[in-house]
Amino acid sequence: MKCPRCVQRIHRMARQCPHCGFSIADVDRVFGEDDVRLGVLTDAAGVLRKKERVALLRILRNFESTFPQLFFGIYFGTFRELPSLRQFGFWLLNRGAFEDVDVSRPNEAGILLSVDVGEKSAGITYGYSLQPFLDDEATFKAVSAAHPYFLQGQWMKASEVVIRKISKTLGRQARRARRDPAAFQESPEKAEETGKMPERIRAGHRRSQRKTQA
Amino acid sequence: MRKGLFILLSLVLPEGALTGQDSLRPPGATSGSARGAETEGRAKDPEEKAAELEKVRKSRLPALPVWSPSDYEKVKRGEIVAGQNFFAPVPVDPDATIEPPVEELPEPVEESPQPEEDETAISAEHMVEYFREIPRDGRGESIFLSDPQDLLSQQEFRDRESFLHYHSSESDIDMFVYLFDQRQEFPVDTDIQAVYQGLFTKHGPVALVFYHLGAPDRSQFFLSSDIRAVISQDEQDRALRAAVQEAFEKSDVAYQLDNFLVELSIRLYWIERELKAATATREAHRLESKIRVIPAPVGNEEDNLRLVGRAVLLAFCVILVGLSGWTGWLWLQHRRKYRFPEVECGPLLGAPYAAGVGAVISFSNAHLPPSRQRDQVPDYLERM
Repeated sequence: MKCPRCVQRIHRMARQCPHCGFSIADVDRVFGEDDVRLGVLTDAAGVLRKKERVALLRILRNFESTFPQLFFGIYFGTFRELPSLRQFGFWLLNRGAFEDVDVSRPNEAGILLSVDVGEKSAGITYGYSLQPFLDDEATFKAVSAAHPYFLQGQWMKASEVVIRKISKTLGRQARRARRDPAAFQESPEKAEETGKMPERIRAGHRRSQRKTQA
Repeated sequence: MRKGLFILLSLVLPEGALTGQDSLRPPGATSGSARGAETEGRAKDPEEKAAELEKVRKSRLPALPVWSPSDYEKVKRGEIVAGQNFFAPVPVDPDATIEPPVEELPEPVEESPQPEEDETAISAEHMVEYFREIPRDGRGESIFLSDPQDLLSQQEFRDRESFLHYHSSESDIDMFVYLFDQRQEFPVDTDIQAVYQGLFTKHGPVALVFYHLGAPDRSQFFLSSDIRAVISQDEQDRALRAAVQEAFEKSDVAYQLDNFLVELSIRLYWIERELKAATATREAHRLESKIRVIPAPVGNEEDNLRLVGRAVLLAFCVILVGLSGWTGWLWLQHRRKYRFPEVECGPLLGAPYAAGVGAVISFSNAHLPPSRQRDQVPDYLERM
């Protein structure tokens, strides 16, 4: 798990980044703390033709058909004033209300591809339900495969490639999870211990200080 | 300088000329050490003189210069200083004439007219040597190169003969070559076909060549009758033309013959193969004519058609089943649903739904790979 702002590894259950103190409140102050209504395919930058939009929507529906618990959202925008695409994706997946997605698929099960058409960058954000099944490397491979199409401005083709690559990874992970579900389950005790780790570290520091004073 | 001049004069002048009057020899003293003679102050015996003369003659040295009696007297009187006129110009008498030596010219020899050799004729003796019989060596083996006129040197002859032997050992068609000079013509009653008829009819497959050294284009080529029955005249002409063409690649007559023989040997190899193929075909035809033709049973064609129809139908069914299976597999893949187990993952960074931040890449530079354009820089270092 990485912090959207400082890209440092953070432990699970951390309420804020131990390195930079980042939390969702920081992005709420920038983008707003109210929910934003949008569809799974939002072309705020206006880069898709109608045919492309239709085709891309069909691809997104197929994804939902293949993965009945998940949904895939795509956002094309231009963030000239706000160049932090990573934080924007993090904020949008938490504050976005996807109108054309069934209520049985919460944002926790969502994957969002954010594309900054103006600054020419693309990033992926995913919900808690997909934490054990996706990682930084898998998402990098997906957007890398679409890199030539992004370079040429073929937004639909690039999105299609990203979806296909993510689908492959998820399908493989789903098969593995079916064979060995325990490998992907989080142990509550472990999680609790992980959450209390800062307190334990601080306690250890206090004990060592007492020993030094004695 | 003075020393050098002295040495030069001592080499050139008569002995004693530079040393004074006492070293001068009187007239009549023709050899020996003049100074020694003078210092001894005695006259030599005639025997001694004769001995000295003999000694000088044997040594083959030029005789020493001798003063004439009048000059000798003048020298004695001091009228002549020895060596005084050494560097003076030689007096030349302008009126003097030199009489050329009278030589007797030899009498012109009358050349008897030689009969002109006819370069185009081949002597009767040579003709007999050529075509008396198939030439054989001492062991009774055939000699494939005939050169009774010794047009080639022995070494050249041996080389070409050994090549023809090699050809004979490798090929079924022996090649006999008769060498003639460049402009030689055959007698009217002699031609290559007649030679074949006279000598080689019982030899088996053979190729006869009349080769004119220096004029390969005058060569004649003749194959035995069993070969000519299969190989067309055009092909024979082509073989000869190719050999002649190869021969003209060289300028030396011996090398021309080399090229000619090698090319002709190659052509004979192909002719031999064609001959064998023709023989095999003829044999096959002969066997075929002996085989009794069995009539095919009536209705066999219909059965065959039925079998072919079944085979085509079976193949079509197999292809159809394969295509159906492939389509079904694709459809199943399309319809396949993947489900994930429920995972407990608490809120992180205060986010209610998602905190999974994946990769962010830039695609502003077409020359850099995605890995070099991966955004890993903390955002607080950027403008926010």
